[in-house]
Amino acid sequence: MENSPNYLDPRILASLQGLDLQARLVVEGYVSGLHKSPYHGFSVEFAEHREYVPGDDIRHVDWKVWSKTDKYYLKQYEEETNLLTYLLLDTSESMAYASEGNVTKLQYAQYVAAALAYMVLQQQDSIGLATFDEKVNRYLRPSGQPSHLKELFHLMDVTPAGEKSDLGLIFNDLAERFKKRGIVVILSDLFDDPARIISGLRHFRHRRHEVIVFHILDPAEIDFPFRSTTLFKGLEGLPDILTEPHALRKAYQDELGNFLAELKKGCQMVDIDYVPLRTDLDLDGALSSYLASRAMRVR
Amino acid sequence: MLPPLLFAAVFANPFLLWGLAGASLPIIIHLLNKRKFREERWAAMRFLMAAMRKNQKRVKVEQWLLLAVRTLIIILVAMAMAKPLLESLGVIDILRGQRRHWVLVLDGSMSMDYRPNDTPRFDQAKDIARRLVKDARQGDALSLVVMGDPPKVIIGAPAFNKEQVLSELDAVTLPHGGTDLTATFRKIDEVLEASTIPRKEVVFLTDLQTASWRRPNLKGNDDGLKTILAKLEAKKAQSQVIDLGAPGGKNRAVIDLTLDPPIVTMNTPVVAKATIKNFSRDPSGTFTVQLFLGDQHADERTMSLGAGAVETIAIPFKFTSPGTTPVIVKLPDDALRIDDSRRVVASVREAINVLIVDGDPKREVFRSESDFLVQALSPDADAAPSATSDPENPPSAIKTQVVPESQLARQDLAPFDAVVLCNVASVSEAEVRALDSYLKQGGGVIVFGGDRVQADNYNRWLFADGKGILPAKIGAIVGDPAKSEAAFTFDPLGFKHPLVADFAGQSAGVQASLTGVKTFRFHKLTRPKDSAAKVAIAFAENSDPAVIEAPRHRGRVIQVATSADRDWTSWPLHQSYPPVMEQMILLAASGRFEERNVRVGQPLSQSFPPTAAGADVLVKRPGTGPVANTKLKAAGDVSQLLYEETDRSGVYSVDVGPPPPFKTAFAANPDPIESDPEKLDQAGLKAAVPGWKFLYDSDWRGLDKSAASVGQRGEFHRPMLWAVLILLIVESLLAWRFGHHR
Repeated sequence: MENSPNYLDPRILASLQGLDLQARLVVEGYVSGLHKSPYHGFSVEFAEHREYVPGDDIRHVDWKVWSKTDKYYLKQYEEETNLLTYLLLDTSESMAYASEGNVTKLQYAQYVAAALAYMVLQQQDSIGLATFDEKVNRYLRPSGQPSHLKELFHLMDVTPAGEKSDLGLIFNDLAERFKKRGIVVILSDLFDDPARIISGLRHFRHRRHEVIVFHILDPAEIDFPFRSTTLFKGLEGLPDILTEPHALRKAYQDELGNFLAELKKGCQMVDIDYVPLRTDLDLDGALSSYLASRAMRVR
Repeated sequence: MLPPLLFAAVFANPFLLWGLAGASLPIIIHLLNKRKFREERWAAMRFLMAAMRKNQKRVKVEQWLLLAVRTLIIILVAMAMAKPLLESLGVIDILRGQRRHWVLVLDGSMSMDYRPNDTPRFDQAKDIARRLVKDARQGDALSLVVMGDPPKVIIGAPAFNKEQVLSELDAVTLPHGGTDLTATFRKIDEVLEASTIPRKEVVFLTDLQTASWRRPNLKGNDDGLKTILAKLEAKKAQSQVIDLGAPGGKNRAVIDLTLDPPIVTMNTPVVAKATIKNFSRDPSGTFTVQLFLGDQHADERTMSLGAGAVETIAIPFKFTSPGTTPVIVKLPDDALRIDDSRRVVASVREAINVLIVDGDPKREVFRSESDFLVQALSPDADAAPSATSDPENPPSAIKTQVVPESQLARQDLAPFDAVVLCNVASVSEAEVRALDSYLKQGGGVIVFGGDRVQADNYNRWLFADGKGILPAKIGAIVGDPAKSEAAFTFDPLGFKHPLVADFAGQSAGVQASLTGVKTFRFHKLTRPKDSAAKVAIAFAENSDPAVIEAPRHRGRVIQVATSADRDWTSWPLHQSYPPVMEQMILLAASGRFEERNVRVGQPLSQSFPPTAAGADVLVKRPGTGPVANTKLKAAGDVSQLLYEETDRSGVYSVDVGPPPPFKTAFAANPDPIESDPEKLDQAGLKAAVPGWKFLYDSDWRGLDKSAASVGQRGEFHRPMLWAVLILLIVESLLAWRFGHHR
């Protein structure tokens, strides 16, 4: 295993086909390294075995035990009811950006979403998905069925288009739709007015959802490494700008820094996990954050 | 009227201003950069837009600033390469006028050959002049004058071609003469007069030798010099003196050389008298004085001189062959070499030829008018012992030829060194013309009186109211031979005249041989007023002249009041007669010999019979100098050799003809005054040339600096290059700051 590729690296993952495989590799890669992880013990909430009595749902029979002992036992879990996880995937045009050598922000978001979905369903929890750009495009109700995974992956696999109109509105809309409490995982570059974003997020909190914001940015968007004269072509309907990037680098980074700081501060105020992600970093950060959040939710 | 320009400049290399086109390069690059860009689809546009909004102005300013700095760098480099020359800066007039006319004046006096090390000062002056020429700006005019006596204008008309000026400058050689300040300033004024360029600069490159700048003859010309200085001042010519000299120079020179006797014949003892002066403030130490006859070393002496001492050294020798022979005295080389040798050209004859025209020939011995004279001059003719024939002082080899009066007209006078008329009754106009032509060729004429002399004829043709050959008018005959007790005696007038100078300081007996002469009759001789003629001997009783000597043309005339024989005087019987007659011949003939020795700068001239006019003349200059060709020119009743380019000291050999084939030589010697190394300082120069405004610069050793200070006023390409360097640093800093820290 030493020489096996690190499937937590998004660039390696990008070379593989199919979100299901990619998701599985990420999670397996992540779990195999868990013994070093501070989140050890939170993966499975199996409670005990109980002997089968007629009338029990045969779906809960532990066939592995039967194959070894020739006796029917049922698996019993600490909480029978599903934990709900809502994945909110930003598919707007800005998510299509990728600097040289990196995956697009959307791809990265998809990996994270797929891995989370896989992991959640492995844990017998329910997971739903909403994709949005200027509005909520698709919505898949949460379900704990393993077959749900395929649908999820199919739904995630979209090409980015459209512009973000108002994230606040979209979040408010979704907060209304999610009737049952759960974990809301937002995967977006959040390129919108931070005040409106925070107000939308606050709505989730108001509905007593746990919220994790995975703020996905390309390294170029953070470092602004351009030197020569560049024509920046605006996505999402923004105008083009021809400029000397080196002359604006500091000012740009100041602007971005202010934006990030405002977002982070807003999230902290309403007790939201704010996780900045760079598309050139491994995926485990995202998974760890999710698991930590889930653990808090379960208790 | 146009307002004054804020900044007016011209360029030494204006064609290099094409480089200014390069200033558009940064702008073009900037524009190309604007056209050539990469495209980036950009998501985080809102931040970029915000940054743009807030910083657009600053970015623009920075871009323009960088662009301006880069453009300025190229402009400055291009302008610096074109060598700009600032002419005015606002109201401060830096150069006045656009171009300048440089007159470079090289001191061409002999002292400029002084070598403090191995390089003569004249070469140093040429080096600085070369530097000045090279540093002259485009459009500047140049002239070149050598300060000398006479001054030489090498380039008069303003020259613009530097190469031509440099090649002329290379060809200039140092004359060995002195300087004529007034003439030099006059030449400078003439050169400036010819130029239309308003800005005039005169640069003197001189050792400021006192003798060159403070001539004793300046007093006479002072007014002339003042006038010219005023003219220069009126032309607004700026003078600058670059002082190449240094005080305390050492020099030793032969300042005079004579031969005694001046007219030399073969195998007669001659004494070369060389006067040597030590111009230094220290004793000279022992040195050798060498005597050369032509190329041959003849003799040498050692001597030493105290500080400032002058001594004459006598070296006896004999000429063993006839012909023109240079006699040269040489000292060991010192810092100033030209005056370490001096030479005279001696025309050595086998004999001195004298033509005696006898106006009263007789067959009997000692009855003819000329018999005593012939006997006195050529005692060897009949081997009779003579009073002067002692071994220490053998008689001069004088050869006489006696002709009767009738032969004079037909006689060719050229082979003779002197012609003596003894009691010749009358002369024709043609004879007078022949005699005058003969005098022009340096010959000597001696005229004795006598009973046959027709005073009217003499006064008409020979005296000609003071314009003729004779220095005195012939009056009535004084005295009576019958009354010997009433005879007149000679007054030698203190033995001052060379004719009788040998008697000075002699015993009374010897002197009595002259003063005891009794003269019974003589012509009363009357000199015109203001006559240059000198009385050698007078009559004691009435102070009438007995012997008169006067120069005429190149020759000399001696007029004797009494007869050559004993008809009128007892002189031929006295012991004083032969030596005085001999002196008379030598003195009369000296004109033929004197003209061979000139001072540097004086022309070489000699007269030949009129028939020789048009003959070719070849002058070989001293050293390895070029050979000059000229021709004899007809000038009245003679044909004349005239060669004026005697700017170097040494022996000039001259070949005339054929016809007639004739070889001679001349010696040119430097003016001893030029040997004195004493020099003026700035204050001294001011005092020596009063009223002259000049800039003074003695720091010639920093040749570049000095030349620069003269020639580069107003140049500012160096500050420009410094500015470029600073701008390059500023550009790097700005680019770094704008590029990395924003």
